[in-house]
Amino acid sequence: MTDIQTKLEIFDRIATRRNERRGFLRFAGGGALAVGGASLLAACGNDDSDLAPGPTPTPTPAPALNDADVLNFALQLEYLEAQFYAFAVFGVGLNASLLTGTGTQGAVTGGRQVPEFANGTGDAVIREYAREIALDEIAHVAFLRSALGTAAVAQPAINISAGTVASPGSFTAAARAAGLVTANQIFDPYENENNFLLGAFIFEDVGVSAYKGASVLIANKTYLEAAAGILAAEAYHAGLVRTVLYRRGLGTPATPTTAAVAAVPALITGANAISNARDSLDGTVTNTSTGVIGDDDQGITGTDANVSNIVPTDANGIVYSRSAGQVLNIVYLNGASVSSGGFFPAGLNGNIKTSAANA
Amino acid sequence: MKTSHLLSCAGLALSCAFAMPAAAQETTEERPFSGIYIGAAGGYDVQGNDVGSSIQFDRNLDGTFGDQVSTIGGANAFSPGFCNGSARTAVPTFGCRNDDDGWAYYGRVGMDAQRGNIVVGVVGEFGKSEITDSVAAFSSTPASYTMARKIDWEASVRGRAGYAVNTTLFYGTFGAGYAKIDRLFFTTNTANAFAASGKRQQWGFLGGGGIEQKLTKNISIGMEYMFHQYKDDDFRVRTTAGPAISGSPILVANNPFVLAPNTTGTDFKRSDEKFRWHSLRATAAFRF
Repeated sequence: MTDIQTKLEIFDRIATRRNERRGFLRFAGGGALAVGGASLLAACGNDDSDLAPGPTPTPTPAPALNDADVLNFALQLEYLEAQFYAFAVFGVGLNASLLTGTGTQGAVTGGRQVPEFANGTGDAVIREYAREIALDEIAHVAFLRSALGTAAVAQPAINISAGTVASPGSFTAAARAAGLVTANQIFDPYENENNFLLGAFIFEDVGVSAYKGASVLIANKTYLEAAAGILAAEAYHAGLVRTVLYRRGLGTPATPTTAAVAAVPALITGANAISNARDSLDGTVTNTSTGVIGDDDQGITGTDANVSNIVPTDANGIVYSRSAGQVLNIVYLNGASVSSGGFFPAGLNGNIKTSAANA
Repeated sequence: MKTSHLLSCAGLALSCAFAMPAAAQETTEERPFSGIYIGAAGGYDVQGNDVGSSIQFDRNLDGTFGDQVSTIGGANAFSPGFCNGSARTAVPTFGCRNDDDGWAYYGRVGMDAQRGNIVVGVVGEFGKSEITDSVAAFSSTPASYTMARKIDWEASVRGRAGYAVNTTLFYGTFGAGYAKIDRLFFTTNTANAFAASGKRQQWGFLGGGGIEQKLTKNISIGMEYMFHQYKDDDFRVRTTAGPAISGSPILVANNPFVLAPNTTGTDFKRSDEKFRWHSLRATAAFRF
């Protein structure tokens, strides 16, 4: 049988040996002779040379992020989205069994069912979309937790509340930053369908850009493929939300059997304002002097309010990416390099937790 | 008769030992190195420098070493390299500790026969040496992995042949050794699990030479050089997914030691398959 020992045990043994040697030296009459001879042999041994490893030593590298770090980051964004949709659609948060893991587990502040979803008086399309999205987001949480297994982080503290005028919740803080409401108002995403859509809009584009940005960090192709699948789902969700916001902003055209629904232009301007606020937070700002939308995060209309911009792509038709730090700028509602705030008042668990320095 | 002559000589020597200086007494002895003796040997053992030694890997567990351990991205997971000592930290920047040289102590029993100036004999020896021979590898994790070997005990039976000038014997010796080798493995990798295996008793040989001087009829001292070499190629460390990662499919799927297609693990072995060292020791013997 072979000994497996920890370093500490080794050091202990080395110390023991040293004492034994000293005891032996004291005891041995021929010590002087032995030492003299050993000096000769030590010179032959040349034992001090070439102890450096083959390649040139490099400074200590910072431990690289592994796939678990990246997917744990994604998992926590999914906790946020899933809790928001679950409360809005079903009136309850995620099952407690889906919230455990490493790190510090936190509670959810805020969240309630949107009245139209509860009583069925609202737009059936929005209600069905919301139900689908909610189920997808909950499934994302379950999938990521399953893939991460024991490495999965716990849900950190999440704030998805409107709060009060004096003590605004994260949604009110976001809406104030975007100019949707004044400093004396609150924004409650659960108040009605329109507010729910704007609340969903805050998250969905972030999710898409976050998964695209994280794709370069995922090394294992199996999980990269799974992440691509989640990205696609998030992109469908974002497209739905943007489309409905745009449609409602323009107003529903009259048909022979129905009355025209009044347009809610504030949905378009609101969504565009949220987009600009996200740009401001993550460091990509619209060029106001030229009027050209040079930013990555685009609203749902072009230069003309009637021109749609459902899919926020660049000149090549490619959707943009956000780094993990930029994503955290938005969910922390802070353009500076911080490690908590906004929707995550106690920060994130895991190894990705600091936002980028844009302010 | 020869025997009675010897006995009378012995009796004379014994009776004279109290009255005469030892040196004067011994120079008169006819065959000072004949007979049985017991003795002790002790000294300091040093090792040569195992330049270029490393740890080799068997990634697919087919028994053939020399495989590259790769990260999920295909890069060499052991790109930081190796060193022929024990790793101080997880990174090579801080270098390695030298192999440990150390004291050695042995007991011995032997028998010599002398004809004229020629002495031949056989000696058996048992003892231990405090040397440690290590080799380390550094992975890009970053983590270090050190494999070490020590002597638990060593036994040998050697032939001895020499040339005696009065009470001084110059000799050479060569024989077979059998040793129990302790294996140590330590690592800064806390994610994987490591299990060591391998036969610890190994055969080898010893060779050297020395000089022995009789001080009295029964007492001799000497100094001796010895080279020891043991074949030590059985030590294996099997690296598997440890408890820290086995519960996480993602961590397992990204761990270089258990990457698909072989998710069982990876074997380590030392590239230097011989445990070699030199000893210089003082000897003392009581001759019957």
